[in-house]
Amino acid sequence: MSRHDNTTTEEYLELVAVAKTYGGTTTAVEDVTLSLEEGELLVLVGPSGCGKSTTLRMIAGLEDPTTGDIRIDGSSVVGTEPEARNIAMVFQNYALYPHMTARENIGFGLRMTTDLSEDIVAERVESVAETLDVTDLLEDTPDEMSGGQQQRVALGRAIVRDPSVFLLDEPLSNLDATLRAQMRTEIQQLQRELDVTTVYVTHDQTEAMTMGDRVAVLSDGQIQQVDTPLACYYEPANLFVAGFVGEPSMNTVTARNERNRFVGPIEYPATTQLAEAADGVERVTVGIRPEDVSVRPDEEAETATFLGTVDVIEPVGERSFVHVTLEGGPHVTAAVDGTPRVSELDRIEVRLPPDRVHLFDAETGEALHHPQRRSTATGLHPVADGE
Amino acid sequence: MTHDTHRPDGATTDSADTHQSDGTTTDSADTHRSDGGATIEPERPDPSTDTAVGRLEKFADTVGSPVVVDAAVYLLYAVSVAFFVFPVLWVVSASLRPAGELFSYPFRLLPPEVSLSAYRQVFDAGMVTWLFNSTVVTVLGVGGILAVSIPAAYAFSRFEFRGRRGLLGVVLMFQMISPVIIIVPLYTVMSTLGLLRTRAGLVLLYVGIQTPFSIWLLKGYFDTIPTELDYAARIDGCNRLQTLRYVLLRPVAPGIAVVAIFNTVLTWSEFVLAFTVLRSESRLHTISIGVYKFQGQYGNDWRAIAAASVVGMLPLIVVFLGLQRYFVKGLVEGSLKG
Repeated sequence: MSRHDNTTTEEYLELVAVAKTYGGTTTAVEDVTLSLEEGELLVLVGPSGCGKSTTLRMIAGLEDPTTGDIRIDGSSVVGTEPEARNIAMVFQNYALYPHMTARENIGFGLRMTTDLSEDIVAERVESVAETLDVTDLLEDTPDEMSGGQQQRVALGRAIVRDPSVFLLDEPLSNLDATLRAQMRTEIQQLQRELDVTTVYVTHDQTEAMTMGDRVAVLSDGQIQQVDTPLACYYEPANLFVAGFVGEPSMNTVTARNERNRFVGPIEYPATTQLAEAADGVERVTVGIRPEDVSVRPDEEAETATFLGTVDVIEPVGERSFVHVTLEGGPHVTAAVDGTPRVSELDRIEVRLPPDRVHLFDAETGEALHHPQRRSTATGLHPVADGE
Repeated sequence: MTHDTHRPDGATTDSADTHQSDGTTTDSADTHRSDGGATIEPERPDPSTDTAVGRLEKFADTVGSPVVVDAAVYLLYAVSVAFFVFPVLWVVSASLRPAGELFSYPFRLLPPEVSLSAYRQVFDAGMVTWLFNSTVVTVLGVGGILAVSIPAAYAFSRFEFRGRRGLLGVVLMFQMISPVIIIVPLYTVMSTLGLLRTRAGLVLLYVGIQTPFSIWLLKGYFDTIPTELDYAARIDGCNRLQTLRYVLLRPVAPGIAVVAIFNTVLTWSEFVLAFTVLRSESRLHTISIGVYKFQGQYGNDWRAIAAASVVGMLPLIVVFLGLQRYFVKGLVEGSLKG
């Protein structure tokens, strides 16, 4: 399956200022510029209706952009048929042809687009079926298969044509949680094995964080940030990305900038660093990740410590989320290890450490300051294999 | 099935709200019918008021018991079925009686003596020709209707074009016009085009008149098929027509079967247009005109009319049985999430 003879790292798939407007009034995609290197997996993530599926359909050639250009391997594909773009697509509902067996489903594209002999088609279908472990299902129709099996057949139909660009539109959202985790890993492995340029659309940030080489966060038809998953998490470009990436969402409080403190529902003391970052901005939004909030009901007060009442405690296994309403009104979620020693309606002190604070311009949403990334040293390192 | 029970003291108890004297709600208020039908809520007046009401409650219990209700429902079914089946049985029975036996008293559905003379009579009068003509007109008519309405419904369901909604409205509006109302102008048009006394003229009329409704019906079926199937087909290299032909036609087959059966019944037995267009061209006459002839020629020869009707019904029954397996719902369901 090594179709890439040249190993250049130039842009393979490019979207240049792509916009899509329906009926002259409804804007689905406003301005999307993206570029993918050959073999890269880019995750396009965003809430429902942000234009990510429309973007994918434009890459596929199912819809034409109103303005802008789409290039594959250097040449514009706008106006060409999907078939001519040599792309493959997997849909959320799989869209298998209901009256055809798995074998016919996988082989259909080859029959329609090539003049390969039946023997070669059968050979390629079987080889793909083996890769995806669906050989036993080849004579079954979609209604005889489980969701996971349909998913595999849909993947088979996509890869059998040896596409140069692979598009996946929320392929896992119809699967149950266990199967989803398993298929996520399998799709990643498959993508690496095939080394095919891939755009993966999802609204699930776990998929976005774990799958992509890079993540493009989309909102209201506009790209908010294109970066590695960790950069989107640690250095979100704006408030939208800060709120969208990370579970639970980042805590935010908007306040007036009074140089050495931020005054809003709570009064937050600004360190020199924060004050410098906020210089010249009238209103700022102070953001802090739940895992950076500390809940200390019985220790001495420090700076940036606030009184609050516990609303709800959500244990999720190895850690718990403590939802607190601070005096002054803002809600803060803290992620703590294990099970906390507080219970609901307890009054506690919550510390929002200044060295973990993100700062945003409240008007534009643009990021002004990010804290240092947390250390990743956990003693985990690969075992030397003697090569 | 819930009735208000009028108590002797004039008060009204709603059976749904009836409580036992101890204040608990009666359990049997939730009686479910064994055939899976609607929940029956038996009438239960408060028994604590006086003995007459107590007796009434006992009566209501008997009336409301599932067995009695079931029996009543099935009786209703039986009467309804008999209402529709009896005329058919009468026609079959009438066609098999010897001459003069039709109005004998007392009436018996099973004739004492079976005679096929009425069938001989209608076949001698040209039944084979009528059957042949009806078959030709129906096959061409239904074929034409499907040939126009399938692509049209696909386009209305899938293509975004200016005036789509308006055009759909116009299509529906044409369906509202009864052909009988416009029969005079239709006759003039047919005459001008030289299509009177031709099968082509009749087939064209059927296609024109039945297509709008068929488009609407089929569009509904196309709408239930996820657009992703079209997308997948286009990515697999199909153009629009190939998408329709290879991918959508099978999932929409139950809809096509419905349209085919519906129009077959309509065109097979259609009389007014056939009589108007074909006129006196007797070699082109269809079965409905054939049946009518026994009224004209022999002064209501009921046995012949019955025999011709029975022969005319049979092909429809065959078509229905042939197509009914396509009614088995949604081939398309398998393509969606498992």
